[in-house]
Amino acid sequence: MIEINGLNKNYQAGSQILKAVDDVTLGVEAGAFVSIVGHSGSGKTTLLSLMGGLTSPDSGVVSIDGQDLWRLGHDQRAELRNRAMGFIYQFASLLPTLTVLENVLLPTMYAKGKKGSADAAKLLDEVGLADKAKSFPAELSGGQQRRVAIARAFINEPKIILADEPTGDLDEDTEAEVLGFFRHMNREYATTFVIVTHNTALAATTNRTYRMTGGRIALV
Amino acid sequence: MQMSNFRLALRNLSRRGFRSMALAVALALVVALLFAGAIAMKSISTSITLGSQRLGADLMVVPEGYQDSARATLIAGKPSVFYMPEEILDKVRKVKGVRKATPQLFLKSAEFECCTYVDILLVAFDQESDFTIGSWLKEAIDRPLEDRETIIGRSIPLATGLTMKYFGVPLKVVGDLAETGLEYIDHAAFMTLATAREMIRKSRTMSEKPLEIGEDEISVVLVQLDPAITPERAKVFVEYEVEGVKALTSQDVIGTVKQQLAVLVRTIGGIGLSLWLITVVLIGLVFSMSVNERQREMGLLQAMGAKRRNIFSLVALEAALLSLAGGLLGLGAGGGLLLACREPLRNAFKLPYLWPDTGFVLLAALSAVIAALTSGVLAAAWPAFRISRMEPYQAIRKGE
Repeated sequence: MIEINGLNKNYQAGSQILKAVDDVTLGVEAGAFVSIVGHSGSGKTTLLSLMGGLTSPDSGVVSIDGQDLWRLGHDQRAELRNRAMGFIYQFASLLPTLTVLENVLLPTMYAKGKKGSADAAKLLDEVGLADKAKSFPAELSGGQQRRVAIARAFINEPKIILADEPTGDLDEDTEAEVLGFFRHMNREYATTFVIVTHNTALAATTNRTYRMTGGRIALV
Repeated sequence: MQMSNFRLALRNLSRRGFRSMALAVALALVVALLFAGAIAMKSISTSITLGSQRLGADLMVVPEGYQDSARATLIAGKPSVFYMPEEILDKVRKVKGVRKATPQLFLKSAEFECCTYVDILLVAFDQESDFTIGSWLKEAIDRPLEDRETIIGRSIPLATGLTMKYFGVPLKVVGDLAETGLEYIDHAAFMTLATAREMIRKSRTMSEKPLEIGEDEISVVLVQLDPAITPERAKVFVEYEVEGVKALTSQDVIGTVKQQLAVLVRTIGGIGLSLWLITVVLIGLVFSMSVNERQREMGLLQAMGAKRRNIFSLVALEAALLSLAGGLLGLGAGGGLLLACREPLRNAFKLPYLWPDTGFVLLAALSAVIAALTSGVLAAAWPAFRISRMEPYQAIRKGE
């Protein structure tokens, strides 16, 4: 499913070069439930972005189902992201001008076989926010906003979910609900999960955990 | 419900309601000015052309030294009067290239008991030799004008059948003329030479201010030329062969107005262009700020599958919607401005004014809206392009 080979990504910080991702080689098979842990600045988020084709590597290869992401054109990469990937971020990522339902429907704008309101409403129901469909993000709590973002990530039925601290600011109950939902999607639809987290308890619930330190990765 | 760029763009604009409104209003001002300016200029230009066509003469021969008064009378309908001996008519007829020549006599109505409707120009013409007013007469009453009858310009608010009285002579209104925008026609009463002579005679006994015009005097000689000779050439011949006169071509008559028009066009055009440039820069800056604020949003959309062209078109669409709103608002404001300024413009510049045909108004409106749309989209093009080329991760991070 996801094949990463000899991946490097450096950043210039003043006169210094920071190795955000340093020679990472990794394989994530279809239906896997994987976590990546590490301290802040260890390169987890950058690696996740490289996997999602959101940023280009300095060297190395990222393949999704055998397709080298960086050999694809920009439009093809965008189509692949739209079709095969769902992103969940650690920050508030809802568009404040849109209602909850419209936010969930956003990725369908760029899809060929468009999903509609009924699909979005079903997902909102699954994350426990069916009654908030017409609300605006500002009317929701942080946890509720996160759940809307999760519903949005699933609207196009992606094969891969790339989640960056998905439970970062959730209370324990909501965190358990979200993880339960992830597990459900993983089991029922064989959705592949790569979750970046500080949360070792969360990592412990995944099937495999990697640790990143100074841009390098190792299986825990 | 389906999500679309259109819905997203509308929501983004309404989210920044005040800013959107301010930009739309700025653009509306430009559109209003340019639209109203174009219509006003066209109106004046149409009026002058139509008026000079309706005058129907290639040359107008006037007493030397009265060229400005003649222009003022012919363009602004200013009831000035000037006279020359009638024998000039015969001399003009003998000039090379002159096909027809006909006299006209201008009388100025006076503000005394003598006159029903004051401050209009009374134009007497010779029906036998006339080649200008005859066609209007045919349109208006389809028969020759009798003595003591008049047809009046559209600006004189009198109904057909009523009788006016000037210098003791009753003048029955038998018809009116279509509006030309030329005050000389719109604000004048036309009558026979015999009627005018009667007024002159009677004014000496009936009026507190008698008309000081000799029995054999006329104001102008209108000339129709052979097609083989140009008005400019004929003008030289007339002025050389007939002493004490000046010949005005249509261009001479409308030249002053055209100069005034050119100044107006330059002024309005200059203000419009400056405002337009300022607005384009303003829109560009605002959209630059806007996309900078929304980098994360754009990065997120790219992460969801938006292609570069989707991002570009979202920003461009927002600019287009804003510009369209500004354009339409501007058309409304421009239309209002035109109606409000119609009289002040006419009075301030003493220019004729006719509403242009619907086709031109629609074309001007369409052009103004297209110009507004193009300006808005062009101004937003660079910020839109810039944001669409950013890597999604970079956009998301920069928006943090």
